[in-house]
Amino acid sequence: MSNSLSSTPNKQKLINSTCLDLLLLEIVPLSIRITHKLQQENDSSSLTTSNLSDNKTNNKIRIETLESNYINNDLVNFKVENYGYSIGLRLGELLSFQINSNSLNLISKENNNLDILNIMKFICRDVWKKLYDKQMDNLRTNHRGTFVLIDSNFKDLTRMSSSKGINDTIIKCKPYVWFPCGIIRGILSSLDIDSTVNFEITKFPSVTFNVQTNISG
Amino acid sequence: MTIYSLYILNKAGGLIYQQDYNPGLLKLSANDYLVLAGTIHGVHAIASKITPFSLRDDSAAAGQSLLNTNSFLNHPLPVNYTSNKTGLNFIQTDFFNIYLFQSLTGIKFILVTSPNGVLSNNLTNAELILRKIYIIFSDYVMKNPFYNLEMPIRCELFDLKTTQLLKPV
Repeated sequence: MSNSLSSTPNKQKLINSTCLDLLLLEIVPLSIRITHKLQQENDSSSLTTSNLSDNKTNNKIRIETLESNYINNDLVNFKVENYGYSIGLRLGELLSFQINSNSLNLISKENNNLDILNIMKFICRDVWKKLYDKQMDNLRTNHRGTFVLIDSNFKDLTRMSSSKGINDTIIKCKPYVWFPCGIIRGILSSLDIDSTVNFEITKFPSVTFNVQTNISG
Repeated sequence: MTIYSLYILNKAGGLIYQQDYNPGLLKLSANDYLVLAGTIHGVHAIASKITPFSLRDDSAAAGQSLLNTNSFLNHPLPVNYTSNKTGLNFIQTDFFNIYLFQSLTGIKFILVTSPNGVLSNNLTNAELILRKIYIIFSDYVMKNPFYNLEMPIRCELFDLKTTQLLKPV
């Protein structure tokens, strides 16, 4: 997000996009740590007779976050997706207000309903441009509410490289991709469209987002 | 100027990256690389202690004029960008040159090059290359979530980008 969203063009404040990059890197380790802690608290409250000198309590202090078996844990992914969702909700409000002057119409003229195709175009162009400084590379639809958005060089993944090779990189990068999934769902939700968003990584760093909505376009 | 080899040291003087880009140097054993890195780290520390105060200011000013003329960063340099103003900057011999750049955070980038060429040109070139390497390092190592801080760099993308920069096609 290289430029601030709210200011007028001539008084635009700039923020280094590296800040966002670094912040996003922390999302997954943070979620893993929180999930780990919550689960331990659950465990200890359910056990009425816990052994105080249990060796396992030492693990609480240090957890090798990305090497742990919490990677691709559903609870962690859900948390990351939720961060994206709440940001998407706000971003949807802000950007749909901002592009009012643009040529893009989110509401179709014929029946006064939301134009789902234009909304997906809005995500591919305006939202992606704000977040990742580029547009989505491809948008496909079956005209029955399913959309496929392809970013063939997803920015968050372009710098990731595990020392154990490409397969390990793909496994470990997956929790990070739940964040943009949440953003897409949040933006659709802010425009009153229920959706489920999934993704596939076939050819790293290309990401395919599958969006299933309740509206047939 | 041919780039033979790149070393990166963490702030404790441990070798976290070593790569040869062009033939010209003998391969050392893994242990010898570590010893070499530790030696350079020690010499640098000693040199920065014995740099006279008057010289420090001079070299800082010199560094400033040197770096302000290049524009590849495309924005004004921060005030305290020359962390390299004390200590060992370069070593020149008949057979090779060594150039050092230390970041503000204490990470050292060391370039071993061939000796030919005019001295001042070589120095400018080496400084440029070292800064470019620092940028690549920031982008592909520090922004890689799977990298453990202070640990050896095992990152394909970093290998790829430095090779593109340092190895003539």
